[in-house]
Amino acid sequence: MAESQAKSPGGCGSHESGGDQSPRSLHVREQDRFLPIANISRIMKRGLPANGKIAKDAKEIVQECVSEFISFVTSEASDKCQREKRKTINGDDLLWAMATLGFEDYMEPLKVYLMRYREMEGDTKGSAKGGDPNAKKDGQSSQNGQFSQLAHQGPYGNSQAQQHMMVPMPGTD
Amino acid sequence: MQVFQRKEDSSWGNSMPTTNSNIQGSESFSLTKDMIMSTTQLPAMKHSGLQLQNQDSTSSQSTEEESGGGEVASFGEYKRYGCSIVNNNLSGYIENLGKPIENYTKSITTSSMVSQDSVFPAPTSGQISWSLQCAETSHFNGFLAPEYASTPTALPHLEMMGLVSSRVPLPHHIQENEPIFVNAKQYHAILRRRKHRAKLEAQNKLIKCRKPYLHESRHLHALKRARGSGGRFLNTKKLQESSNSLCSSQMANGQNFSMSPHGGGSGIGSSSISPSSNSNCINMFQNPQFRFSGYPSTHHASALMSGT
Repeated sequence: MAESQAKSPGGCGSHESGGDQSPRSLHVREQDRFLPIANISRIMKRGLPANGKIAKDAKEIVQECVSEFISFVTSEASDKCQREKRKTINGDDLLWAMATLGFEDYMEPLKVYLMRYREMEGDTKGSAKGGDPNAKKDGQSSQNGQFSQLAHQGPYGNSQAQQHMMVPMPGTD
Repeated sequence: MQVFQRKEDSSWGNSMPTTNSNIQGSESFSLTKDMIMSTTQLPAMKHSGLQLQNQDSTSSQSTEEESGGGEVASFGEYKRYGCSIVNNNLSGYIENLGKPIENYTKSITTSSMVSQDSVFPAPTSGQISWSLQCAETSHFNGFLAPEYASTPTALPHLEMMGLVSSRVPLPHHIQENEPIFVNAKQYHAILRRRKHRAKLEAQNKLIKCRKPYLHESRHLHALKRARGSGGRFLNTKKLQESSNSLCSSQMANGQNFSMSPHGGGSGIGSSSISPSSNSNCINMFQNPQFRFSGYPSTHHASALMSGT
């Protein structure tokens, strides 16, 4: 329901863009609730042929979907951490949350990903070795993006492991 | 998973009328925005190997900047008419993206264009300018096909996600009173998310209108940058060639060059472009971190002012 309401003011955005300068609104910023749309576009393009194109509204819909999915999984993990009176969400909590929500198929590849990531955590040259698992797991790029988004969500708390997840991103790009 | 399907259905239902109204109401405006949208992909892809995560956010913000209003479209369009150099340093994907415009440009002129020759393209650019204005409808109609072709590409992808492990997607038109059957494992999480979104909406924190750009200064910088044929940004090497070509074009055909901006935009558009140019000049002096060296920027700015 909220999503449909969010889409209907799209026309309002179109009207606003008619002017050269848009007014500074007091609303929350777009980058606080959505992943960067350029990164999402690059991930979406991997599934297209060389001459494929993506419409802008398709990018925006996928942007909202993946951002909502991150909040969906994170709120489940946060709920578990609150029950156990812990303040930090770690990777295992996210894996448990995805299994609880019915995404069991994601468990096995993400376990492998998390295991290899933790092996790299001890290395000082994280960016150099970050390329290898990302190259092997092209299908997990969106998961990588989701993990990096968690580092930006203050209300759920940031763990040190999640902050380190930022390091392999240059390898992905 | 059911939650996403339901949202997707409602989102598609909303996006379709929006697309139709955009096409019917302001066809050239919407499509020009798409063209400028594709322009931003060039710097993003060029720097993707070098940027860190934070800088990736920068490129995405540039994307928002490029989604500017009609003035941005008009300004870019005017610049596109002025320059006739074809950028040959594009990657494969961008080359394919730029080919329709390039082919269309070549179809207008009887003779082939030589990008290295700075004197020869001068009359050709004038002809292109007038021909483009006359054939605007056919041009944008030709541009519509890729946009429609890409939409089905996204929809089957979403449907395939729904069909994994024999899950049934929700119908398109859902009545409010009817109960919606969802994955039992996700029921409580869905209720929690609904409550959270309602709370955000009460606090007026949901994003209602997407701003065309996030930062004013970046938007003005994008307005200032030189653009080649097709509306893409020129890199540093092409900028110098463009400056030389623009200078020669101005000297050789002053009449055609002076008429182009008037024909391209309305009076209101022209009057609003000038303040933007002034702001760009101010920003140029205040911000020494511009990518271009002093000489090409100054020369281009002076040429732009005389053109306006």
